[in-house]
Amino acid sequence: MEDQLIKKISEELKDSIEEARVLGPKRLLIKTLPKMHRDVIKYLKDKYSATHLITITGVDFKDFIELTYLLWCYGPATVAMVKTRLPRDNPEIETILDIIPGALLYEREVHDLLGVFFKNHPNLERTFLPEDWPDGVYPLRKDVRFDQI
Amino acid sequence: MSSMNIIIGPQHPALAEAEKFTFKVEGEYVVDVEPRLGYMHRGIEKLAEQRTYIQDIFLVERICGICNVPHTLVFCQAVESLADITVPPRALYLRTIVAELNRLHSHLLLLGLSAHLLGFDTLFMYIWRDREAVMDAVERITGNRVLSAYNTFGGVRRDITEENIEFTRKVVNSLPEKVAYYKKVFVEDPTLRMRTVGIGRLSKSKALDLCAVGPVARGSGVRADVRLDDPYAAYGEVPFDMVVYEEGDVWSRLMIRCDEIIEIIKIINYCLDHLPPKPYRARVPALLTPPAGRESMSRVEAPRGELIHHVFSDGSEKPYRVKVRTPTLANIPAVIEMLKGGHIADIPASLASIDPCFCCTDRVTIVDIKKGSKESLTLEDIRRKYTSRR
Repeated sequence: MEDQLIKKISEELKDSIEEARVLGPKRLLIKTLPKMHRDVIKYLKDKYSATHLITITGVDFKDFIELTYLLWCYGPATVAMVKTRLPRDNPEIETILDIIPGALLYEREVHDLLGVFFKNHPNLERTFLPEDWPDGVYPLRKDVRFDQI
Repeated sequence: MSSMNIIIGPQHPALAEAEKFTFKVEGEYVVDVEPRLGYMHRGIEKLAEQRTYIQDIFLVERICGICNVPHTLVFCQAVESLADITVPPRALYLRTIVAELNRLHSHLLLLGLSAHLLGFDTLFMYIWRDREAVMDAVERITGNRVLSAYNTFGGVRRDITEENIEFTRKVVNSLPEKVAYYKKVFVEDPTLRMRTVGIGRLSKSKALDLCAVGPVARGSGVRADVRLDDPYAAYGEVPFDMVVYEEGDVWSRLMIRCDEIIEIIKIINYCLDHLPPKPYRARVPALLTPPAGRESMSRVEAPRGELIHHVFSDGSEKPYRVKVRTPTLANIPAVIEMLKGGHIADIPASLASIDPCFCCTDRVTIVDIKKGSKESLTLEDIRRKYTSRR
């Protein structure tokens, strides 16, 4: 079932994605460019009722920051993992709040801990870190060590 | 009317955990809510990157005391998929039994606390008395009341004995009658109805939009339960029904818990009756090194809703990144929606109805262990102390 689904997604989204494959049972992996992620998420929402954003996972891979939007598609009952890579020195990406309002805290969390800036987010304030936390120190980045904090 | 701000928290906003909510109120009505999370941060995601996979089981268990079983379960599942470990069927059934016992005591805890917050302490004490029996069953099976440390890579840490099967049966089968009575009280007591029916409304469309999970979503008519949507452990083989209420108020969220307890008892009895033969654990190396560049996202239905761990490997004995998303964090936007337009007096009832767990929600910052202070021991120090004695 996943194979047919990924084939269909690859055909219909061929202009906006880089790669699409099956990662395991009920897990689809879709790689896209940061400019295109909104189109992909909008498509999944309209077509497969992917209204449930499970979370946004941010990982610092030293050369780039990778964001994974984990979406539960109610239609085919599958998790779609939409991945996009951002440059590490200036990680900026458009918000998806207008498509999925539930992304509010997840975008704030990634901003807080990994320093990714979400454009057009209405309230990108501190979420988890204390008020006196130094600016520009993002604890989940790999170059931040325990003894520095 | 001019508005003013009321700050509730950080000490004790509803349950005895720290979180701050700023309520903008006009007269008796709540107009807006601004939550401030982060008072319980312990830096567990960062800490998990510094420890080996096997050490991390015990670390993630400490994210939350109440739902410790789902945390270890979901982490073990994620790592097993990274390292291609197959779990024997008996272990899957035992995991299901302990996960359901955990859900059982958690639902009883919430029902009791809700009664307490609504000012009905007799009901609170009755429900918590019954919860103790469930804790006893957990202790007999796993060796501990709260932090059970039961799940491990490749299975579970100990088998269940015939005696404990009987004891667990006795405990869970004594509950349906009592729970039916508590449900009757919640349904019929006029004061409880006044405090819960129509309070803290969350419509189905809002629940979907705000990505609510677990009993909060199901209380608003959303059919979402990881146990049925994305089966794990033995849930694919166990017959049970999803409990869904359409009303979307505090009352329906309490009813979800009452009805789910009956389903839980069905699941536990089925698993005890159909336990597959041994082994209860597959042999795995003590120091796991999953292949580099892999990732695995695992989901379970914790008592409070969908819980996920997303684990990345880099070929070493430590995970490259562990991402945890707990159900209470997912339900915070939904609880803000519930509180808006409600009375100030209804805040505790609405907050408690999502069964908040702020220890789960706040987990990501770094703990600063003061260097040179005699009292603070790191896990590494404790380990060294033990190994030198041996």
